[in-house]
Amino acid sequence: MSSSNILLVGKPNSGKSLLFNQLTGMRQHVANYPGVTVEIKRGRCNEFNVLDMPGTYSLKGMSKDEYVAIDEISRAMSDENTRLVVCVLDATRLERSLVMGLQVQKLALQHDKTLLFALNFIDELTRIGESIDVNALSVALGSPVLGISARTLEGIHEFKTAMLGIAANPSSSKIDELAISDKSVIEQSKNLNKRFGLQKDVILRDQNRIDSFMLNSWFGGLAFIAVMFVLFQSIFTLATPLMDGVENGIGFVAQLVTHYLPKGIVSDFLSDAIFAGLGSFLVFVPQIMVLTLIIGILEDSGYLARAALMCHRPLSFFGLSGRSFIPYLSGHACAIPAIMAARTIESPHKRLITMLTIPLMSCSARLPVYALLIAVLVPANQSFLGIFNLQGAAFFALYFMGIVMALLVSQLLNRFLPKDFEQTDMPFILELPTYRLPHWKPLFQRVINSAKQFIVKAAPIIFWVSVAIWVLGYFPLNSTLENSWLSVIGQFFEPIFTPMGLDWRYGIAILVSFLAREVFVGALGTMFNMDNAEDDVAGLANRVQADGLTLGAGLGLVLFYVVALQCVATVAIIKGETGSSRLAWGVYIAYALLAYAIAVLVNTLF
Amino acid sequence: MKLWDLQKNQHALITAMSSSINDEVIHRLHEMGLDINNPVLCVKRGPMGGPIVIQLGDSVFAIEHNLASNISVSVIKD
Ligand SMILES: Nc1nc2c(ncn2[C@@H]2O[C@H](COP(=O)(O)OP(=O)(O)OP(=O)(O)O)[C@@H](O)[C@H]2O)c(=O)[nH]1
Ligand SMILES: [Mg+2]
Repeated sequence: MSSSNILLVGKPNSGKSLLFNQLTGMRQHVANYPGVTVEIKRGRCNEFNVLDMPGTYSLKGMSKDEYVAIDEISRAMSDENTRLVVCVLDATRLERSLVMGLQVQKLALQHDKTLLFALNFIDELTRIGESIDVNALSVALGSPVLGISARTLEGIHEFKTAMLGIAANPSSSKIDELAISDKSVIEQSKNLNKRFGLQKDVILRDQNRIDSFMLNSWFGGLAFIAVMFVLFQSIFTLATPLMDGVENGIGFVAQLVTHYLPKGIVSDFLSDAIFAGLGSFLVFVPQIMVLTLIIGILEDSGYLARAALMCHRPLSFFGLSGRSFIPYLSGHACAIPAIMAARTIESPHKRLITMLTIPLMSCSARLPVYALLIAVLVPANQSFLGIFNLQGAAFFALYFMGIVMALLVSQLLNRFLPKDFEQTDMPFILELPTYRLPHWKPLFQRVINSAKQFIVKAAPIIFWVSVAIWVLGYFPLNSTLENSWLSVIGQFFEPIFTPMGLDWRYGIAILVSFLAREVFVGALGTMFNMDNAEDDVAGLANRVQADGLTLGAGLGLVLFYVVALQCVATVAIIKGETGSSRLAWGVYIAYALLAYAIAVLVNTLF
Repeated sequence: MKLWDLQKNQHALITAMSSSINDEVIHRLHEMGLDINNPVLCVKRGPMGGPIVIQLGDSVFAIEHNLASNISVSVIKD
C-alpha cells in the first residue's frame, strides 16, 4: 500500500465529506450545518489515501475542530507523501470559499505542493440559471478548477480522473506563480467574486424569506417546540406498529422452535436466554431507526443551525452556548459522537460543560429501558389532553427530564468548575446554511446502518449476559430461580436495591446494565421467563406488571436510567477529549450516585 | 449606531470596530466580510434577544450581542 495522500480542505459546509464519500465509497457523516466533521477521516481512492478535514473559514483557527484541521494542513504541507491538496469551494458562496482557498493556495506554493480546486454545488447554480466560467476562473487562480456536484454527481467522474492524474504526477499542474497577486486574500476574493461569483442573490433571498418566519419570536418559537415534540413523539408513535411486528415475529419463531424441540435443557435455554433475552432487545430496533430518520431529516434541512441560534440566549443562561444545541440533540442518538461534536463550541469552558452534561441526554441505549417501564407503568391506548397518546407523552416527559437535569447540572458546573483563564472565549458566530430537501439515498442507508450498529454493538454483550444469567439461574439442576446460584449472588446485593423498592432480580439487571444499558431489558427478560412455569408468549411488560412492580419503585427505576451514566465508552471518550481520567470517572460516579439518590427519594415519596 | 441596533431589512455600512474586540476575532470578522466600508443587511433581529442575523456578501451569519454591540454602522437610505 502506498502512503501518498490527497487532502480535502475548504470552508465548513462546502461538501467536503459528501465528495469524500463519493470518492472513497465510505459513509462519513454529512449534514447541512457548518462544523459536522470534527476529526480527520481517512479513506482510499485507487492507490491514494484521501483525508477529509474539518471545515475552517481560515488558517487561523477559533475552535478545537478548526485547530485539528489547521494543524494537519500545516503538517501535511511539509510531508513529502502529500501529493495533492484539493480545495472544495462552494460555488454559491464563492467569496467566502476563496478566502480559505487562497490562503491554502499560498501555503501550498510556499511548500511546492500542487492544488486543485473543486467548485462544488454546480447543481444549485444550474437550478437558478447561473453558471461560472470555470476555465477563466482557473486561469485567474493559477490552479486547475473543476465544476462538480457532489450530490447529483455531475462532473464527478471527470473530477476523479483529473484528480488521480494530477496526484500521480503533481509537477504537471504546478501553481502558476504569475497568477498569485500580493494583494490580501480578502481583497483578492472580493475581486474574483465580482468577476465570477453569483450576480443575483436568489439563493439568499429565498433563504432569508424562510428565515423571517423560522426566526420569528412567535412563529419560530412555536415551530421549534413543534419540531422537538414531533421528534420525540414519533419515536413512540411511528415505531409502535413496527415494534409490535418484530415482537410478534419473535414470539412466532420462539413458539415454533420450542414446539418442535423436546422439553428439556436445550428448549429452556433457547426460550429463556435467546428468545426472551436477546429477543426482548431486538424489539426496540425500529425506535432507533425512526430516531435516526428524523434527526437525519433535520440535519439535511439546515434547520439545526437556526435552532442553535434560537437556543443561544436561553442556553447562555445555563453556562452553555447555542452551539451546544447540536451536540445535545445528537446525544439523543448516542453520546459518543455528540461529545466529539462539542469541539465546534467556541468557548473551552462551555465546551467542557457541554461534554460533561451530554450523558444526561436520553441516548438510544435507554430506549429499550424507557419503553419497557412505560409499558409497565402507563396504561396503553389512553389519551393525554384528548389528543396525545399517554404513553407517548410519558416518553416525551422522560426526554424532557434528561434535558432539564442537564441544564441544572450545567448551571452548577458553570458556577463551580474552575475557569481556565489562559484560553480566551471566542464570540458566538454561526453561519446559516441554505435550506435543502433531504438527500434520501444516504439518509436511508444511514437509517439501516443505525439499526445494524445498534445490534452489532449490543447484541454480543446481551447474548453473553443472557447466557450467564440463564446458567446461574438454571443451576443447581432442578432448582427454581428463587434458590439458584443467581439468587444467592442477587441476594448478596439486594440490600443496595431495597431502598429503591426493588428485589434482587432488578438488582442483577441494574448491575449488569453498567456494562451497557440495553442489557437491563435482556437480563430481566431472561429472569422473568425462567420464573414463569408455563411457556406463554406474553411480552415482558405484562410479566413485570403481573409481578407487581409498585409505582414508586417503577418511577424511581426509570428516573435512575434517565440520570445514570452506564456506558464505559462514554467515559473513555470524555477522558480522550478532556485528557483527564479523574474527571471522566468522577462524572461516572457522580451520575450513578445522583441517580441512586433520586430513585430512593421517589420510591419513598410515592 | 451599532450593528446590534439595525432593524430588519435595513442596509448599512460598517464604520468602526471597537478596539475592545480581541485581535483574532477582528481578523476572523474581516475574513467573513465584516470590515470597515463593507455593506451589511440585517436579515432578522435576534429572536427573543438572541443573536442578530446579518447578510455579508454571499453568506448569512448570526452574531451574538456582545460582539454586535461593539461594531458601529451607518444606515444606507434607499
Ligand atoms: N445540492 C447540493 N448539495 C450538496 C452538494 N455537496 C454537498 N451538499 C450538501 O451540503 C451539505 C454539507 O455537506 P458536507 O459534505 O457535510 O460538508 P462539509 O464540507 O464536509 O462540512 P463540514 O464537515 O462542516 O466542514 C450537506 O447537506 C450535503 O448534502 C452539492 O454539490 N449539491
Ligand atoms: Mg465534513
